[in-house]
Amino acid sequence: MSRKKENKKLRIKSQLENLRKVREFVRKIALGFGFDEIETEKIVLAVDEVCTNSIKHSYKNNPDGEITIEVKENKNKFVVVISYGGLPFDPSKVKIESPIEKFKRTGKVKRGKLGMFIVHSFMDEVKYESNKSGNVVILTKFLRKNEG
Amino acid sequence: MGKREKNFDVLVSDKNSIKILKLKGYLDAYTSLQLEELLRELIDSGNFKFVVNMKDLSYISSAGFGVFMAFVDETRKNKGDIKFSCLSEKIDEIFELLGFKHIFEVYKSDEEAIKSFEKVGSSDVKKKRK
Repeated sequence: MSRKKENKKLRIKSQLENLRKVREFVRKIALGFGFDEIETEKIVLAVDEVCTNSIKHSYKNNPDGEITIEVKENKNKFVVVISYGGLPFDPSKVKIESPIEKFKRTGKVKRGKLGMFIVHSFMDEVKYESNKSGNVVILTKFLRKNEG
Repeated sequence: MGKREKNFDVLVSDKNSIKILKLKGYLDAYTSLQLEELLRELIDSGNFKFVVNMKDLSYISSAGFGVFMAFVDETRKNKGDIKFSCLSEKIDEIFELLGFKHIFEVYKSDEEAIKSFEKVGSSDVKKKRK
């Protein structure tokens, strides 16, 4: 029997203290979908990073913005759609580099851009869309057969 | 009330010249500010050797890692370091996946982390005697 298509949605205000709600929401669904603890943690981290970036960079810490997190489950595909307003996000302007590569290249440990590295290394697919109604980030992870 | 993630707290203790920071709860973009302020204060008052115990830390995001990344070079320049101990299985895996074990020293216990500072200390003393 194929897994039933289901949509689950959470809407939060653009405040960092709400990140915890987002993590709890995503963690519960990912575990229920069949991901193990580590794979679930990766998804939770990726979603957290996208929401954090939206609050800090798109909403510039304005607490009145809205972020919608929607989870779509379809067969072995787990998709998290994060929609928010504020300033548009241009992913082409962000250089994604692992912390070790950066450390080897510069000899220095510097923070920054780690969130983007986490999103791209922990998810199978990452898509960005910006239009008049706002920004959408679509994160996808596939459940492998040996899991769940 | 069900079991919910606790917010965040740091317990600071001293062992010789080393500050042991025991983290509790979760470290994300919301709570990392508290840790950042604490580390800034400790470094500004001349502390450069840190052991960060993560036994009771349930979660860490890039904002949490970012605090340590922001200060580690400064501690190392001052003959100190930020070292980690007692990572949970989940956080250990995240350290591994992000390659942080190539940047930071990770130990199984506070004692081992403290000892590693002593080794550096003794070699410094030898150098000074020469």
